Formats: sequence, structure tokens, C-alpha cells
Amino acid sequence: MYWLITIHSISIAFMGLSAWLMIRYLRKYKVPESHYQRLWGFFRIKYLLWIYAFSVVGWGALSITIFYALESKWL
Amino acid sequence: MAIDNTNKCFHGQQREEILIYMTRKHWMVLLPIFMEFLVVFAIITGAILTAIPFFGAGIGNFLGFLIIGGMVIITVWIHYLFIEFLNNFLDTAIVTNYRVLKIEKSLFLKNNMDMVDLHEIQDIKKMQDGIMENLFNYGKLVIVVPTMLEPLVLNSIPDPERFFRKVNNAKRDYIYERQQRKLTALTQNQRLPLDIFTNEISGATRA
Repeated sequence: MYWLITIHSISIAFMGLSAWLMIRYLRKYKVPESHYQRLWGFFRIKYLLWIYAFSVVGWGALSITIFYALESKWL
Repeated sequence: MAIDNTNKCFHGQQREEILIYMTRKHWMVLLPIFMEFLVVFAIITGAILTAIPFFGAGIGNFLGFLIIGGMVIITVWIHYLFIEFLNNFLDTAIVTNYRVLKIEKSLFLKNNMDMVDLHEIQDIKKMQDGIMENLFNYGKLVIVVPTMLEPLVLNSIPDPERFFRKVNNAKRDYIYERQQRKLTALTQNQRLPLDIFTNEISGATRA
């Protein structure tokens, strides 16, 4: 259990670092929105960063829950 | 007063350099990475779910390591997927009123820049080979410059026809502007001695 918590803590910290670097870059070099902040015409980068954050935190919570359930039943 | 555009839209932007067009690689580049992630996720989840009923209480530690290992691999793959998505935002091709730039940047590992001045461009080739490239309208642009050993290659550019047109228009405008500047400089140089002469004459007559 502690292994998983440690791994996910590192994972969340890495996600925070990546998002911070990305936001810092986007704030530094401001390009017209039509040129830069859209990925495929409908997908904005801030949404991608939110999805990234939710995926990492969500996966951490889910995997810890699954492991806890399995541990109490089988392990 | 001249407008200072230094480093406004991208790193290395020059004074009075105006951004004309900016694009990044087509989303089809990300599709294989996404598919890889789905396959890995399915394999690991399948392996864990298949393994659970086979193991009894006696080999619990092995199952525990298997589950933790699988979860770590999925965690790493999630980061890999999103970092690739973010890198796609940073990896850009830019046309300005002076040059064409290829910026190969990633969040952590890479920060390369390749550029070609518009007046140096000899030839541009647009290549769209294959069903996918024609169906989803993306392709390769090869910009040939006589002074460079290797041409500037821009891979997986979405709507290459548009990029091609933008470069051509920018080049034509740039060449026209340079010619105008040269003409102005020439005429000014021709007038300069005349002005001096007339001033001298007028000064002499005044004296």
C-alpha cells in the first residue's frame, strides 16, 4: 500500500511540474489564440492540462482503492 | 518609433518580425501513441484480472507485485501519453515576414530551432503520399535552400497546401519589400551628392 502511495505522490508531483512548465511557456510567449491555443480547432490546451490532472489523480485514487479491496480479499 | 516584437510570440523572435502563420504537427501523429496506450492498458488489466482467480492465499505476494507492477506501468504510460500531447503543442512550424522556422521543442528534453530566410528559398516541395495523408489532409514540406547541405523538412504538416501558399506569399512580399528598400537606398545615395552640391552652391551665392 505504501509503495503505491509513494509512487502516486511522485506521479502527481511530476504532473504538477509538467503543467507548470507548460503554463510558464504559454505565458511567456503569447501568440494569437487562433494560432496557438487550439490543438485540433476545438481542443484547448487548458482542457488538456485539466484532463491530465484528473487522469493522474483519478488513476491514483482508483488504483489505491482497487489494491486496498484486493488486499483485504485475496492478499 | 519601431515596434519591439522581440521574443513576443516565440523564442528568438526578432525586432519587427511579424508572425504570419503557425502550425503544429497533425493529430494523426498522436494516434499511434494513443493506440499503444490502449493496448498496454488492455493487456495489463487483462493479465491482472486473469491472474486473480488462479492464485490462492499462499502466493499472495506474487499477485501483489504483479498488481503493483501493472499499476506502475500504467501510471508511467499515462504520463508518456500526456507529455507527448503537450510536446505536440510545442513542436511548431512558423512563417514570419522574414523567415520560416522549425521549432523542435519538448517539455524536458529538446529545444532545437532550424530556420531559413525567405529570400534564400529556392524551391518548396509538397508531398502527400498515401491514403491517410490524402484523407486527413496532412503531409510533408521540403524547403530547398542552395546554401544548405540538407533541405529543411517539415513533417506531418496539417493542410500543407495552405502552408505552401503562406510561404510563397510571404516570400513574394519579402522580395518586393527588399527591392523597394534597395531602390530607396539607391535614390537616396544619388541625391546625396546633389544635395551637398546645391547646398554648396547656395552657400557660395549667399556668401
